Amino acid sequence: MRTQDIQARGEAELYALDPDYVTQPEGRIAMTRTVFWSLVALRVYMVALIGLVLYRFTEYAQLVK
Amino acid sequence: MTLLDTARHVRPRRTSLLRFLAIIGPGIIVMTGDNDVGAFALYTSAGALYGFNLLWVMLPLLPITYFAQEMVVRLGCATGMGHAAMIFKRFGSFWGWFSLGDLMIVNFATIVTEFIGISAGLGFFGVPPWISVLLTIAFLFAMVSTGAYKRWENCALALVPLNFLVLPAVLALKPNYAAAASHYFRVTLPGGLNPDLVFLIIGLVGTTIAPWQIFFQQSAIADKQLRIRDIPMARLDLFVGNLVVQLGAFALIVLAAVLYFGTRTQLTEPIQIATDLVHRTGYAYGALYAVALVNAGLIGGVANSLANAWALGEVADVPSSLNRTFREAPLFYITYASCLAVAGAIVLIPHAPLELITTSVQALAAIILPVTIVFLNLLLNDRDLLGPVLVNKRWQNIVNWSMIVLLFGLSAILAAQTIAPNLFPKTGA
Repeated sequence: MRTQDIQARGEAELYALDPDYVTQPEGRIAMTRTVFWSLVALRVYMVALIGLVLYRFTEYAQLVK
Repeated sequence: MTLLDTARHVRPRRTSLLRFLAIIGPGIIVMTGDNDVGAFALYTSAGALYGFNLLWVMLPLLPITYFAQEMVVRLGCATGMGHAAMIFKRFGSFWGWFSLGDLMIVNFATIVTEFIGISAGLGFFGVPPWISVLLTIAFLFAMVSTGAYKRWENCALALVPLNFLVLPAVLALKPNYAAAASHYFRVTLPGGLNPDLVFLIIGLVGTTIAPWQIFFQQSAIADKQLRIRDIPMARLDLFVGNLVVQLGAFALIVLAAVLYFGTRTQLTEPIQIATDLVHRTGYAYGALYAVALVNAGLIGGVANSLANAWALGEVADVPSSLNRTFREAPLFYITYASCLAVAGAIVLIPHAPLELITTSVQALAAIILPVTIVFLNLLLNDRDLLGPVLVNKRWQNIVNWSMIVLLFGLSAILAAQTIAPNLFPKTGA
């Protein structure tokens, strides 16, 4: 039986059993299309913002020189 | 047999304190590292510009920081793996490399700011910057090169009390404690929601909870080999750490408020407080403050460098542990040393825009933070990984998603203001 399949009634019972680390499940996390594309959108937004912040940084750095 | 093993094998009722002492470390160190040089800059700016009026911002940050890091505790104790490794395993290399890249860039920039603070702090005692940088690199490398996680942790825990060296100066200045305490519980927005105030509030949020904390704490928990049954004590460790941050932030805001708010003197950099304290209260108080600033840089520097070294080692699937020697984990130690060496070298570049680096780091961290917490929350909802007991409960998801929305909104405002400082018209403070 995998550690994560232990049917404890709560955290206290789980701790009392002193289980080992969980077994890594096969494959990747189940992700719906909505979650996937939301993450892609977040990533694009983030990269764009980081790019703009860095651009502004180099702009200032040149001014300082 | 280690203290941790001993604590696990004796009767629980008799060993609560012993178990806590054995487990204390990752939580309190990560939270003390939160009060780093960037935090010193922001907390003192908040006090100097707005007096006690922004103390209330710290109160909601107590549960926000706790809930975010508590997820890390559960994930680390259940899996025994670092955060970078978890993202690669459960989300794949596409998302994994992005997360690792974000972490490395922001952490590296943060380490530069730690060196800036350390150089300024040691400069108070007349130490030239190049000697400060060399001393810092030597000290921080010596800390990790003992070949034992526990020895490193003991060194880091010894630095934690130095965080409170600002308290003597606060006590000497005799602030109005009742007024400060009332502002901690009362929301005030002096001058309305003007851009400067919004920027400062976002900065306070961004510096109190940062992406490196998530990666650092989970890797530390894994390296310490905490297990599922250690979760309650690891939570307590985290909570104590949260109180340390709150007290440190409170002291810095009050200190700067008493020194500068309502006066003609402007606070331009954190170390200025040390020299002004010398004139107001005496050399000893200024010196203690300077030591506290150096200490903040040391804890921040070691934590951020370790977060990078652990993450890269986990992703490369090579040994990355403080329990290994240099020969056993070369990539881990080379990454750690490289972060320190390059960051130190940047600080020594003549005319390097150090103030700008500090500001940009805050902006970058604030942009990356919500995405990091989204991944963390998705992992904590992974029932196949954590099982029915440790997976997030409904109320936890409500709290966490509310936090993500709030952080996302704040990061968007911060990013907009960083890109276009004149986007919002000034209304005057």
